[in-house]
Amino acid sequence: MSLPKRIIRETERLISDPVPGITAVPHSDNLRYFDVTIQGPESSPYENGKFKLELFLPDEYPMVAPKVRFLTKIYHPNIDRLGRICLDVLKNNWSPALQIRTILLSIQALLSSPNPDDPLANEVAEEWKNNNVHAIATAKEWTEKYAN
Amino acid sequence: MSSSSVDRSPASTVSPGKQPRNSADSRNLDNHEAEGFDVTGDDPDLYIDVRSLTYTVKYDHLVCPICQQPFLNPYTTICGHTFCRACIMQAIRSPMGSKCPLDRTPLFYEERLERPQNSGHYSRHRSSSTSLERLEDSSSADDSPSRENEIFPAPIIISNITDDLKVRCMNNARGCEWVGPRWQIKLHLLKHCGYTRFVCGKTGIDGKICTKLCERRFMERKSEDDSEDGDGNEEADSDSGNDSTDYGCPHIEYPCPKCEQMVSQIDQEWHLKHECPKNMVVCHGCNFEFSMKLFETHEKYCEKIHVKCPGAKFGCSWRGSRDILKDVHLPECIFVKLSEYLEKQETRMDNLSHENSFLKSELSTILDSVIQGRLTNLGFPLDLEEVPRGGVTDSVLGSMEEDYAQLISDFEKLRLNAQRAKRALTELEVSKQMISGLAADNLQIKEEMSSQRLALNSIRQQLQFILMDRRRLNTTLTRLGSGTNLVNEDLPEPKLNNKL
Repeated sequence: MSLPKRIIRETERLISDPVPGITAVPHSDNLRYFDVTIQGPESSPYENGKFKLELFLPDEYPMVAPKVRFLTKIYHPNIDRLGRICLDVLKNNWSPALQIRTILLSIQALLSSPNPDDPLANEVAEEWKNNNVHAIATAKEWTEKYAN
Repeated sequence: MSSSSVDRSPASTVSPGKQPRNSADSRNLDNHEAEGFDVTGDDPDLYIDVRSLTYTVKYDHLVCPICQQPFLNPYTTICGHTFCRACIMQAIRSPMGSKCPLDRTPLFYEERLERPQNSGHYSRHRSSSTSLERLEDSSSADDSPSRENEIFPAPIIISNITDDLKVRCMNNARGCEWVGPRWQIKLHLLKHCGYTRFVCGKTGIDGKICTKLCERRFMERKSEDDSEDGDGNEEADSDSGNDSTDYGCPHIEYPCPKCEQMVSQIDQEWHLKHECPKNMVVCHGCNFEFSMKLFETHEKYCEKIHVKCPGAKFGCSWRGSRDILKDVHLPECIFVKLSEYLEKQETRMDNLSHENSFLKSELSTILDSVIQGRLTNLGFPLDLEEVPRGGVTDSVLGSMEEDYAQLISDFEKLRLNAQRAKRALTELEVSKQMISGLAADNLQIKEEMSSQRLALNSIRQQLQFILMDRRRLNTTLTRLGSGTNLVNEDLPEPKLNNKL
């Protein structure tokens, strides 16, 4: 099956005009599979971290959301230990007008502002709410340990 | 639109002209042709993939947010966003549901029976040649009680603009240089493009109908002696040319006139240039014979071949064999020595001219806005301060003259207004008089009415009095008839009468 023109255009733009702090490179053998890196946003516990993600565009894309998963371990209330991300635009708030770059920007924004009230990793969320200082320290520690 | 703003998609980066072919596979050319458009079925309209077109112009604001391509049969939502019809229809049927993909406004849409006239918005009048997709217009039927659709055809101008965008021929990779408006692509591919492939359909050497694909330019060629270029498409329509047996199947192979290898009409040209070992050319420098396929490499290295001086583009007119160039001319050529500097100058000039054109366009937009500002400010003092141009006194005088003319026109306007006001005033006076006359009449009528009322009252009293009288008469009459005992009863009656 040939690659839809939209995916070609998006890939070209991701490479020619990348989003600051984000890279996305398609696999040469499967152009629907991207290796993504996201820089931890400044003044967040993930600062200076370089997080690896995988992004896959299903056949129905753009009518369904891309599948995105963190490959780097991360301490975050909305990301579980398998790297799955709890983000509305990846689930029922997906719109075909969104793109790979907008999704990656949303994930970067999620790193800046975790939402422990809608958790995916319950223990992390509890810690985040009850012992915020400790949670942020752990997040920093994990960033140094795993995201380099 | 400058050529620098041309959108580059991967298809356009494929170099035009013949794709390099693997010589081992030259027999199976059909499988190794460059990408292009083939007519393989009965109804080519259905499989011309307009979405795969490459555009040669910028189309920034004419892009469907879903497919990221210029609109194809654009539809607009009530929230004002425009999409391709196919895209928005697919989107509202996707898990996201009937919402605008851009702002999530709930959208009502119901597929309805086709109606040429559209009562809800506007009917579509598009010539069949501009509609690239099968249109199944859904129009809100006026007799149906249901809601009006909230997704409807976009203004026609949008489809006209997008249909007019310039595209490259789909056979660009095979060598077609055609660039034209999008609405013409179908006509071009099916009727004119020499690189569109059709099923050959001619009788081959074994008497069977050839089913291979063949580019139009080979099918229309009358004989091998005809001109070699494939652009001779003046013969309008080659309905796979099944009526002309004398053309012969272009796939029939015959021995190459030079090397005896079997070639067909289609690959002969390529064979002679890149493959044939016996297609000899004489190098005009060293006078040795080479086969064509080796000549290109030889041309690059032959010491004797005549070449131009590398400084030719700056004006050096020297020409000579390569070895003399190297040993004699290069060390003394002033253009070559200056070339570094000249090239730098050239790039600088390029940059400057780019900048200049950019500035010019900016200036024109500014001028436009200034002109627009003046138009909307007519009759009011200008907010913009004009920069004096040229001599100061001249411009001051000019502006004074302008002001004067403006004043005169203003004055004229005011005078007209005053006249109009005067006329209105006299009219008012007249109506005022009329009103006071009416008021007087009214008073008179009132007085008359009250006197009438008085008269009426007195008449009523008289009537009552008369009635009483009659009654008394009646009672006296009865009394006279029955006896004279009831005198007392007469007494209250006059009292009652007084009350009345």
